[in-house]
Amino acid sequence: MSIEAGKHRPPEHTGQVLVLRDVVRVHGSGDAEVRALDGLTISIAAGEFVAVMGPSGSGKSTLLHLAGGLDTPTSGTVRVEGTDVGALSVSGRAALRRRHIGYVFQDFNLIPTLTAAENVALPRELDGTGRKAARTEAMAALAELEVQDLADRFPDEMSGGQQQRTAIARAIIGKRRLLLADEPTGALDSHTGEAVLEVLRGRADAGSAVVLVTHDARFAAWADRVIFLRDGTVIDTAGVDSAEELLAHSR
Amino acid sequence: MNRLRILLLLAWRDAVRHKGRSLLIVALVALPVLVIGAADVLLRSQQGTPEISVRGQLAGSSAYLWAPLGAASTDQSPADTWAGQFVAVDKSARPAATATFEGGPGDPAMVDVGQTPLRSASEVLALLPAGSSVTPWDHGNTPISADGIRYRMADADLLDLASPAAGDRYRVTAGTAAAGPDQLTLTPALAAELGVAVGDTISVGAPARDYRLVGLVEATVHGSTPVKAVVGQANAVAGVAQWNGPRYLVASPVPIGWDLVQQLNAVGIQVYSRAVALDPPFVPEQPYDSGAAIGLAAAVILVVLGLTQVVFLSGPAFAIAARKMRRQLGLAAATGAAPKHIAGVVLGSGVLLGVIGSMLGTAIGALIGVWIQHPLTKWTGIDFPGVTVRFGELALIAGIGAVTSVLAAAWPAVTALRTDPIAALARRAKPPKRPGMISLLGLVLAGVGVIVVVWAASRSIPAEITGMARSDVTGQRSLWIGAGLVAIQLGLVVGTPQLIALFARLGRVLPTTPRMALRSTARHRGRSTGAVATILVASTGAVLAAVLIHTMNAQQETEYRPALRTGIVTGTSYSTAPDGAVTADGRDRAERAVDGLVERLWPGAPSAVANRLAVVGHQSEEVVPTEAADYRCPWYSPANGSSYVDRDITVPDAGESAAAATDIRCAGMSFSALTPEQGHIAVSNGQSSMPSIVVGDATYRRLLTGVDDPAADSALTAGKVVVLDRHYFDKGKFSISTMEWPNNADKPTYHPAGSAPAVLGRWALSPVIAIVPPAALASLNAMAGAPGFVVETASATRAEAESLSATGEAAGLSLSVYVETGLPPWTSEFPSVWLILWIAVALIIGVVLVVTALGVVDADDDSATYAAVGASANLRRTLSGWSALTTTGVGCLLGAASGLLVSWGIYRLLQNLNGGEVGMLVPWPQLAILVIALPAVAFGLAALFTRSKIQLIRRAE
Ligand SMILES: Nc1ncnc2c1ncn2[C@@H]1O[C@H](COP(=O)(O)OP(=O)(O)OP(=O)(O)O)[C@@H](O)[C@H]1O
Ligand SMILES: [Mg+2]
Repeated sequence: MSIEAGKHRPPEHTGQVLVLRDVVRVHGSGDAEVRALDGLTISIAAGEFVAVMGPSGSGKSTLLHLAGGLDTPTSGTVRVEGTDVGALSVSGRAALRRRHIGYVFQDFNLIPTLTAAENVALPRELDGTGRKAARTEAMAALAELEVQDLADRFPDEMSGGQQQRTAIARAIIGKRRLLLADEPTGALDSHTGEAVLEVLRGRADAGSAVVLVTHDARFAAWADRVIFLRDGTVIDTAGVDSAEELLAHSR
Repeated sequence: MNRLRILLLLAWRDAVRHKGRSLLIVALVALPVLVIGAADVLLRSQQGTPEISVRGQLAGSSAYLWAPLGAASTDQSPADTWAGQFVAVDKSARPAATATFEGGPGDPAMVDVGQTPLRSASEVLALLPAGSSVTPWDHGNTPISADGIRYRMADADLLDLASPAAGDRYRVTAGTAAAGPDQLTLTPALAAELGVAVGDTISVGAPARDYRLVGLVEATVHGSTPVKAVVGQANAVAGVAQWNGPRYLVASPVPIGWDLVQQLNAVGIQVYSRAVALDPPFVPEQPYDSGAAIGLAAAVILVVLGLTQVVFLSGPAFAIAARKMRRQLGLAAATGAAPKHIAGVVLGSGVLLGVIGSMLGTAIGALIGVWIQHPLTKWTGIDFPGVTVRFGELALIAGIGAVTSVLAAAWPAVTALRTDPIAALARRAKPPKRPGMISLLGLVLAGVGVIVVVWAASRSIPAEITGMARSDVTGQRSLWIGAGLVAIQLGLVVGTPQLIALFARLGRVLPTTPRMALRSTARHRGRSTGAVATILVASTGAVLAAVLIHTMNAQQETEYRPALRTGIVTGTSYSTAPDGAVTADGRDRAERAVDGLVERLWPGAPSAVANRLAVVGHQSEEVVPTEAADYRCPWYSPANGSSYVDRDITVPDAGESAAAATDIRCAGMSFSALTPEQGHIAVSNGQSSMPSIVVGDATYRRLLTGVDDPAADSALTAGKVVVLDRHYFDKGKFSISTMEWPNNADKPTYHPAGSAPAVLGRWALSPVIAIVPPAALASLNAMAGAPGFVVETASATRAEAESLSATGEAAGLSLSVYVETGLPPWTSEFPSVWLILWIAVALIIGVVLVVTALGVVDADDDSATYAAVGASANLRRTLSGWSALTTTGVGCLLGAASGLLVSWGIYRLLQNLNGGEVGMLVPWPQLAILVIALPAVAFGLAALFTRSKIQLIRRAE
């Protein structure tokens, strides 16, 4: 199986959604200094589904934090939809996330005191959309993930897979084109995991840029492109046959 | 708007989800608001409204008149009430008629003004608007008894309830109102206390006579009207104070305005009018403006309320709630919530819980304020004329409560602003900051305070410095000690974080559980600092108060000289004859009355009658014993003049004062440190209710002194005087003089009256100087005067003394009774010291409860971890117990130490000033309670309230 091409049709390039250039992120200083990312350059276009793989501590989560504006690079630039994230204020980055970025984590994605619909509507409401309008949008997003029936349930009344679908629904509400998922299948069984992947694939096909962090090569196989990280840099994948081989090699 | 809604929704849902935590916050917000709300209602109810206070004075009447004796005209201000403080001023030609009515019968002023005739009801009526009615009203105190033997004093209200002028002051609840001179009614409370029912016969008055109880009446007004009272027609009961002049209640068809009041004043009548009291005329000299004081009080309350809320109560609770929400807030941030949104959620919970808490607190406080009035009146006698609830003020209090709780949530909100979402999502806790420089400076300041206190207290004051200069130096030193105390307290409060960190470091040697608890106390310093500081200050106050109480009580105990043996009751009557002379017939009648009285009250108890020594033509206090020249206190100089009652002794300096104190010839006189400036000591006999020279026999002597002295007894039988005070025993003789003190003289003159053979009796206590047997009266040129008695009872109480006095009054005897009850505790004179102690203890317990509750709410996180490492289910209990113990223990220990230090300093100062006899006494048991028991209780409470069940992490959290 080639890792160059995904199973599905090739991406339609409608512009670069996420661009990282020479990004360095250093934690701590002196002896305790950790270079979580070390000169990373990546660009991801709309409609593209990219999987990020690498051993633990290689900087995958850091990459997503930077892409999502939760963190800023020590040096280099991160652009989302053409905006330099590092130049924005904290509130500016929050607004960017509200409007353009969807986040899905491994678990505990939902605010326990809000219902599914309220969780999904949250970014819209924070952005000033009216309650009714936000709920309509949230219902549409939930329907897209086929969990509209759970709209008024609280997170602790849902299964793990249902929670992840709801989280994805929240990540795609509005006019977002960047979906960042950090091991969204990590807490799910493989069957449910496949279903989540299908949804992500669907989003990419619909024109979003999707970045998926995963340890599982089977899931990475859904992607158009796989980026391998080690010690904060992209590994050259030329001459490597399969993702399994690469992972084994890097461990 | 919608954004606000979603923030409040998040806050609200979180509050509902964590009911225990929210309830705690609501309670902490409500608590101070509750106290202030209750205080507001109580204060306003006590103040009442003008309508209520006028009703309290007048019931339904239009006015109350008082025609003071002898006042040809008077002046009053509209604000004057009838409470009996009038000064009647005769502005006409007779200045002698100016009198304040404080004297009693026999007061020269009374004799003088009594020459103006009383104004009768019809005379008064003629001065009032047509159609008015007037009824006489007497009010006073009278003896009352159900069996005619044992009397007690009761309020008496004498007026004709049938008269329209009485204004429905009383409502008849059983039987009828008193309609004749031998009928009375009682309030139900008094009837129940006496155990009488309608139809019974009761004895009332001085002298007492029998009345029929025809009904029960209930007062329709409270306030100054007594609740327990005898009610009958005016002049029905003898002995109810009437000598102030007649009083009248008035019902008038038209309001009695200020003009009419002034007209009545012009003829010597004082008026309290409903119309004037409700609508007072403008008077230029207004009483002080209370506006500024109220403003200041309000400001102080605001600051205190705000501080307690922010620092001690809901502030830490909101901080915990915010910390618990951290992950959710991080999640919200990842979804695009800006920092201001995150802070909004935290502030939102402040608004929600603050509004609920302060509304609840105000409501409950107001209810308590209403409900507690009745019990308060019962316990303390504070009068609440009517429930007054000012809703505006309560709303303001609730508003302030809500605002302060939002302030309390502000700091956690600011902290939330700085939340790093990645750290929050990863549940990475920030390491606690090391306690800062300021906190270290605090400890330094406390150290300086200790040095200042020790310095100010231990440096002795040079002996050359005496008198005023000495007390000046002491005053300066006490200021230093005060400053030291402030420095210690402030320093320790500021330094608390350092202290806790220090303790945590010391805790390394402890076993796992207390060590973990210490760590967590140090880690959650924000939560424990306020608590430790409060406990520290409170326990300092408690220790100071306790040491003071203890030492002062001991001091008094050593200084107290009982006048009699416990259980001995003596009574003395007074002669009211203008010239002090007592006829033999009158004396015999009184003697029989006293004898009968004692026999009736204590049947069979050993007793003896004892008369005052009287000299014809002299008041009893004008008959004085003559001092023995060879046994005179050398510092007493008759040249300075004075009487036996009030002697001036010149002592040149403090050194001689000490010598005087140990000189046997001066024994029995109480010396205080002398200063040249003062130059003298005033010595008084003290026991004014006992005559110093008594006509009595051997039985009397034995009962009074309780000492076996056969020589004295046989001397009395042989007609010799027994002298009990060595100062008056002059070479086998006892002499008396009469004293004269003309009005314009500054010294009295003495005239020897007679002397009799005497022996010296044995008795250490000497309220009585000499016992004169009747046979010795002739040689003293004296006679037996007003009778008294001594009786030996098993144990007599103050209540019995009061009852005896009432019973004597009912028998027509003006009896002064002395009962030896022993030393009352010093603190009974200083309830404030107890109050400090109790407030401190209550505060400590309250803080312990709050801290425990906060700790319990905050302790959820680690339970799963503990479970995973196989910790026992009780670990959490033990942990929170140790936590509470550390917080309380540190506070109590440091507080006790600084309290002890400062009370030592104060004691040293007092010793320097007075040379006190009693050492500083530390109440060790109470101190042990503070330092050991309270922290142990805190441990128990915390352990009790912590859930031991291990909770698995909620799925979605
Ligand atoms: N706040 C921080 N302070 C110090 N070091 C950090 C911090 N956050 C991340 N690191 C370090 O940065 C490196 C990259 O971390 P990152 O979380 O991106 O790894 P990852 O690839 O997501 O690993 P995993 O697969 O275990 O999730 C690691 O070495 C980590 O220890
Ligand atoms: Mg990771």
